[in-house]
Amino acid sequence: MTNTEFIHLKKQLQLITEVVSADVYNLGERFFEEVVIKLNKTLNADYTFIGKLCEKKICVETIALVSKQGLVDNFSYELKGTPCENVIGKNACSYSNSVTKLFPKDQLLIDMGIEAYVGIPLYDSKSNATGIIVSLFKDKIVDTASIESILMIFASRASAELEHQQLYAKLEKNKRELESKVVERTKALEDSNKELKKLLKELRNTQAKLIESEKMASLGILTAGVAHEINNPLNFILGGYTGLHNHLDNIGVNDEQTKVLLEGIEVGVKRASQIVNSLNHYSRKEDSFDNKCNIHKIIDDCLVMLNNKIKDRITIQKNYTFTPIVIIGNSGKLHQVFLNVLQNAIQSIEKIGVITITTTQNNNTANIKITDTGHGIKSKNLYKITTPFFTTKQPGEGTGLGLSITASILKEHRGSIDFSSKENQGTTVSISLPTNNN
Amino acid sequence: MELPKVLYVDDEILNLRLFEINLSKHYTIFKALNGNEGLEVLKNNQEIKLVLSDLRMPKMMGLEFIAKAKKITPNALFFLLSGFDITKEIQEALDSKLIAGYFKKPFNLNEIHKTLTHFTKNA
Repeated sequence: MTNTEFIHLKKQLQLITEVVSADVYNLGERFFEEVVIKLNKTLNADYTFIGKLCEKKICVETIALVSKQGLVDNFSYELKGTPCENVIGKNACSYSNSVTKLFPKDQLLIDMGIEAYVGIPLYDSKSNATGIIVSLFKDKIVDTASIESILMIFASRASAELEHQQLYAKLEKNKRELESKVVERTKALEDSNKELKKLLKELRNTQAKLIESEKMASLGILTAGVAHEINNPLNFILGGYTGLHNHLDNIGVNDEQTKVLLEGIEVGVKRASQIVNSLNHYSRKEDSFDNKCNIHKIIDDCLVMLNNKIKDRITIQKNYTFTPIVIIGNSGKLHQVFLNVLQNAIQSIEKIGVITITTTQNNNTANIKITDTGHGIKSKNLYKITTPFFTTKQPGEGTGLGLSITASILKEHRGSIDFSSKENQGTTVSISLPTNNN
Repeated sequence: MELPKVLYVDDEILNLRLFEINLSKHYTIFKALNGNEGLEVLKNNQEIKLVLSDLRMPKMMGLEFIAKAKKITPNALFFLLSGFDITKEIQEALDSKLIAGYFKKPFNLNEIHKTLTHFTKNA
């Protein structure tokens, strides 16, 4: 190795050491700026910049540009007619002097008074041209090879950084899109979840109604059979009782004990017969539904029937609509509805209390609210009260059929019944009936 | 005085026997376990003026029996017994005078006796 070559290499090494002396590898966003500052200073250039190729590949946008005075605002320029045109996507080029004479159309170089030019192309990892590193000199330069090799070292690093930044930007964009998609999907999911919950609830309701109507249908078949089958044995008992009664009369047995024994048989048959009778409701469907039913009159009829249980202890408050509410239906059955509900209200009031009856009519629906100040219904029982044979009353006081029959009659009239109750405070029964069934 | 003659048709033998025990003081009672037997009894005893029949019986239902029986003894009075409340077909039978009355099971024998007496006196 000659002495000149040695000095040359030493100088190169010195340049490199100077450039990398500062920690240019951990600068993040300020990498390009720091690199051009270092390069400009070390190479004793007048301008140094790193530029990226624009999308159309006809111009370059600088990412970092530095003059001897420091950082300068970035700009973009068209490649045509510039020395950079020969560099980008091609090879490193150096012009040690008179560069403006070679590129007379590059007004920028002329304006800046540039004499020498060194440019290095930038490529990404897939060998696509991505940009350029350029150092410009106002004076001619001697050792273009050294400058080129130093710029080349940083070119690969700058390429990687550029690619990294672009990928990172893409990644950020994807991430944001993904995030907004996640938000969007989450909302859509929540919405469909809500919708599903609603549907599920409706399904459960429909299912419950279906089960209920199935139950009532089978109850109808069952009770028709049971009613008939039980009435014959009841007939045996009553016939036997009648005969026995007559026989004991004839032979002169009429002591108190015998009377009690006979009464037991008679009352038992009658009560059993009544229960069987009320079961008949479930199987009889052929009754007429063409009576004009005045709801206020029906309620008043029921109150008259129940008068002996009301008087002196229960106040009845009536808030009736001014005009009568008339619906078309089965008058006898509707009497049964209000008799059942009012009877329950009366039975719930142990001593004294108030029963409020409020009627309203809107659109094609009549609403009747019957509120009592009685002992109320336990919330755990509230959903069971229309189940056939469910009762909280003492044996003999109630069969558990009243509200079941009531609900079934209202259903036949295309109406409905609802209960709200607080224990020890009272119960409100809300009945609604369609009034447009004429 | 001769007791009025009554035919009672019921597929439950116990009903027939209890009816007989309780009312034989007041009536001469003929019994039949089904419609066909009942029709036979009427053919042989056309002087029977009162006929009671259960509604639901095997082979021949009460109203069918009554319709056939009415041709044998057109002047007799027919009554229906049933465990059911009045149904449409019972109401129609009453309206068309096919039957003179209807008793719901379990029936009160004293009430039946009263009703039959009322009809026989007016006949």
